[in-house]
Amino acid sequence: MNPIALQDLTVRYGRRLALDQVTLEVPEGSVYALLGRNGAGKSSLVRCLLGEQKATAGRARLLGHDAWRERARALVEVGVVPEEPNAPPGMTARQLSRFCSRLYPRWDAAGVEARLERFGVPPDTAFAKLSKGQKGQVSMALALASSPRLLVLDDPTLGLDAVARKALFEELIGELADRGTTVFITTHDLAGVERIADRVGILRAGRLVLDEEMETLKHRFRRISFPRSQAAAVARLQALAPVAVASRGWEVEAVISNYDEERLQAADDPEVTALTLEEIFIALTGAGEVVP
Amino acid sequence: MKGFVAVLEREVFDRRLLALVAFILGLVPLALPLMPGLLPGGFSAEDLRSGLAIGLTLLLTALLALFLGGSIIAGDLAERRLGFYFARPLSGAAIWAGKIAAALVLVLGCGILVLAPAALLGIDSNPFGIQAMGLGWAASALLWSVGLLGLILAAHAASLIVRSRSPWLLLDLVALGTVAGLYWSSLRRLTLAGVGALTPWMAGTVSDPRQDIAAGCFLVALAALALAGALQVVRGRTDLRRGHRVLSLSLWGPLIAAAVVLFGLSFWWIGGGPGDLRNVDEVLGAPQGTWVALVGSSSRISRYPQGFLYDLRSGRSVPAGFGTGSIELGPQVRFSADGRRAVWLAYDGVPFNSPFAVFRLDLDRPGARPVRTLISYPGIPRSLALSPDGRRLADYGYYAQSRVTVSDVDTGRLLAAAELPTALERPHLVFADAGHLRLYEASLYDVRGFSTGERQADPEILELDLASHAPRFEVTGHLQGSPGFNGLSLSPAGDRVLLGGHEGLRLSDARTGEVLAPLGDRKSMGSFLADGRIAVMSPVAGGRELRILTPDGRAELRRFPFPGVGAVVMADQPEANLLRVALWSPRSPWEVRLLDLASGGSRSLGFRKLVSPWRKRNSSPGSMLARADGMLSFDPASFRERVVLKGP
Repeated sequence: MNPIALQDLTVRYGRRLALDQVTLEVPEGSVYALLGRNGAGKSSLVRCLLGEQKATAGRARLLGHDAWRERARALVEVGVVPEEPNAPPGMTARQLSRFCSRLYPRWDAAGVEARLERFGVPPDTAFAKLSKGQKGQVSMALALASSPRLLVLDDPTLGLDAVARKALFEELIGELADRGTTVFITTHDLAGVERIADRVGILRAGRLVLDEEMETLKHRFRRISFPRSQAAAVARLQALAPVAVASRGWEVEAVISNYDEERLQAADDPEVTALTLEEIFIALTGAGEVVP
Repeated sequence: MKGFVAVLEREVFDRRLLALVAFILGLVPLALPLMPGLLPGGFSAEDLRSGLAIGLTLLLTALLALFLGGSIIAGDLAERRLGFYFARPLSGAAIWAGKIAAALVLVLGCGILVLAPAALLGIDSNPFGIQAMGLGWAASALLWSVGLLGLILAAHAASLIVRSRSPWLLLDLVALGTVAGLYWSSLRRLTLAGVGALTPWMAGTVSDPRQDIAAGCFLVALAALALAGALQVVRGRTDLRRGHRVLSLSLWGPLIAAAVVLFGLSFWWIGGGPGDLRNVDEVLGAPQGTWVALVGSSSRISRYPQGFLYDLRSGRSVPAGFGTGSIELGPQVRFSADGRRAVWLAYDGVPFNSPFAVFRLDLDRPGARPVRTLISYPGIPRSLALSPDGRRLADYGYYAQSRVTVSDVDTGRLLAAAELPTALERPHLVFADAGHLRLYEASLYDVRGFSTGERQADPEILELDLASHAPRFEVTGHLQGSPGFNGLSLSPAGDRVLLGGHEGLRLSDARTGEVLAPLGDRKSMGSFLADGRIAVMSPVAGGRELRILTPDGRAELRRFPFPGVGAVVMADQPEANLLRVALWSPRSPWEVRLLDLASGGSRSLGFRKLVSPWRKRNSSPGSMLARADGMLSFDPASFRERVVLKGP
C-alpha cells in the first residue's frame, strides 16, 4: 500500500475550486515533489493530506488510513514540517522535543539535540526568538525525531536563505540515505528539490496537470531553437506540439514535451538543449494551455 | 488520555507566570489592612482581609476565565498556531479537552493562590455580613467553579465567532436573540402565572421551580457550549471559518431546541386544569349552584398554586389566578348570593410585586370568560363584600387604612366611600340589603385556628346607608357576649346573624346585636335555610344530631339523629322542605341523605366520592375531580362547611 493515495480529491471554497479531482499516489521510499504556482492548491492538498481539512469530495489516505477520520492514528508515523513554523512561541526547542516525545512511540531526543547542534540552533531559546531559518530547522529536527515512515514538507524552504536551504536539503538527503523515508514535499525551490525528487507533480489552478517520474520528465522535455529564416523548420516545429514558443532575435525557441531524437535529427539541425526542472515548470505553468 | 494530559500540561506550563501574578495579588489582602486609614468603620482587619481576598479571587478568576476562554483555542486558531497540535498524533477531542481543562486549572489555581495567604491567617466565611447564597464553602466553591467553566466555554465561543469575521455572525446574533427571547418569555409567563410564588402550605417544602429551570437552562447551555466547542475543534480543526460554522450549528441547534421546549413547557406547566392538581387545598363554594372556587398545587410543576373557578356539574373550569395572595381563599373570592357571579382578586402582574386587580365572571353565562374590572387594590383588603346581585363590591381598606369604598363591578365607578374613626383590626363587611352595608367589628378566628386578637369590649355593629348623599357609618349596636367569634353568617333577609364562638352558637339581631336565642354549645354549627329557618348541627353522645329551628330560634321543628357519625354537613335544598346533607364518619365514605323537613323522614341517597380538603382521610387528589360526586367547601368567614354536589 502506498503511503499516500489521493483519489479524486476535490476542495471547493464557496464557488472557487481549489482542487479539482486530484488523483495521485506516492510509492514507498520515493520522494515526491509537488510543484505549483501560488494559489495552485498545494496547501489545500497538504491540509487534506494531513487531515486538517475535510475535502469537498474524494478521499485522501495516509499510510493506509483515512486522512480525515483516522488522522491521529496515521500521524504517529508521519513527520511534518509546516509552511509556517507554528510551534508555541514561548517554548524552547528542547521543551518542544520533550512535549513531542510523549506523543510518539519512538522518539530520538538525542537526534534532535544533535541536529540542533548541527544547525547551530540554541536549544534553550524561546521559539519566538529564533530566526525564520532556525524555526524551520527546529521543525525539521522535530519531524525527523520520530523516525517517520513518511515525511511531509509543506514548502519548508519558504523564506530561508541559501545557507539554510542547503542545510535543510542536506539533512533531508541524509535522512533518505539512512532510512529510505518516503517524502512528500511542496516547494518553490525547484533547484533544491530537483536533486532529490523521484517523481514530480504539478498543480495548475487546482488540477494535477503532470504526475511523472523525474527522469522521464527531464528526458522528454527539450528546448529547440531554429533560425527564423528556416520557415519550413518552424512549420515542422508546430507539428511537434510545443509547450511554449518564443522568438528571440533571429531565432525561434520552443519547448517540446515529446522529445524524439531521431525525428529531430531528420530535421534541419536544430539546436536542442536539456531543461532544468525549473525551466520545465515555467514552460508548463507560465501561460497558455498545458500539454503535458 | 496521554495526548490530553500532554496538552493540558503544556498549556499550563506555557502560562506559568500567571501563578506568580496571582501569588502577588494574594499578598494585597494581607498588606492593605495594615495601612492606616483604610479600615472602614465598624469592621475588623479580618473582615477587610477576608473581603478583599474573596473579592479579588472572584474578580481575578472571572477575568481570567474570560481571557483564557477567549484566547486559549481561538487565539491559536486565529494566529495559525493550532496546526502545531494537528500535525501531531493528537485527536481533536484531546486538543480541545486539554486546552479547556488547562484554562480551568489555571483559573482555579490562580484563585487558590490569591485566597491562600489570607486563608492561612484565618478567613471569615461571612465577611461584611455577606453570606454566599446561604451555601457552605464547598458548595459555593463548586458552584463558582462550574460558573467559571461556563465563562470559559462562553468566552471561547464568543471569541471564535468574533475572530472568524464571517457572515455567520448574523446567524449567531439572530439565534442568540431567539434563545434569549424564548427564555425570557417563558420565565416571564411562569412568573406572571404565579409559578414559584410562596404559599403557606408550600413554604419550606419545595424550591422555587424557576430557580430549578434557570439551573437546568444553565446546564443545558453549558453542555451545548462544551459540545459546540469540542465539535468546532474536532471537525473545524485548523479552519477558523469552518470551525465557526460547526460551532454555530452545534451550539444554536441544541440551545434553540431547548428554548423551544422550555417555551412549550411553560404553556403546558401553567395550562393544566383542576384535574391536573396534585391536591386540592382550599374550596369555597357559591351559596347556590354548583360552582366552586378551588386552589391546589399543580402536579405539572412544583410550587405552583393554581386557582380555578370550577363548575362541578358541567366540568367547566376557568383559571382564576387566586391562591398566591392569601393564606386562604376567603379573602380573595366572593360569590353573589344568587350564585350567578363571582369576583376575585388576582395579581395584576408579577405576584407579590404588583397590585391586585378585581376580576369577574358571570357564572350563568355559558362560555363567559373572566373580565378584568377597573377596580384594583394595592393589597388584599381586610374585608370584601359583594352585593346580593353581584353588581357592587365593598372593601375595607388594605393594612392600616380605615376607609370603606363601594365600587360598581361592571364599570369600576366609585359609588361610595366612608371613613371610620379608627382602623379596625379584623372588620367583617356584609351587604345587609341592596341599600345598606353593614360592618361587624368582629375579631374572627380564622380557619387556621389562631386568633387575631382578644377584645375587651363588645364589638360594634356599624351600618352605612348607601343611598345617602354623604354616607357615614353609624353604630347600630354591639355584638354582645364573647370577644371572639369563629363564624358569622347572615340570614337571607339580612335581619339576623348566627354567631359561633367560645360561648356557643347564638342567634342575634343582625343590626343591634341583641341576642335572640342561644342555639347550641361551642361545638355546634348553624346554617340558615332559604326560608329563614335555622339548621343546627351539634355533637351528641355517640354521634351527631341536626335540629331544625324556627326563624326566631326559639322552637324546634324537627330533630334528625345521626348515631355514629363524625360530622353532618349541609348540602342544598332541592325543595323548600327537602334538605340534602352529607354524613362523614372516620374510615368510611361520605353518605348523602335526603331529609324531609315536613315529615321528619330521612333516606339515604347512597355513598359519594367527595373531594374534601379538610378531611384528608377522605380527600381525593385533583385527578379525581372529574370522577368525584362533589366537593366539601369551607367559608372561613361564616365558619360554615357545605357540600357542593355535582348532580341530583
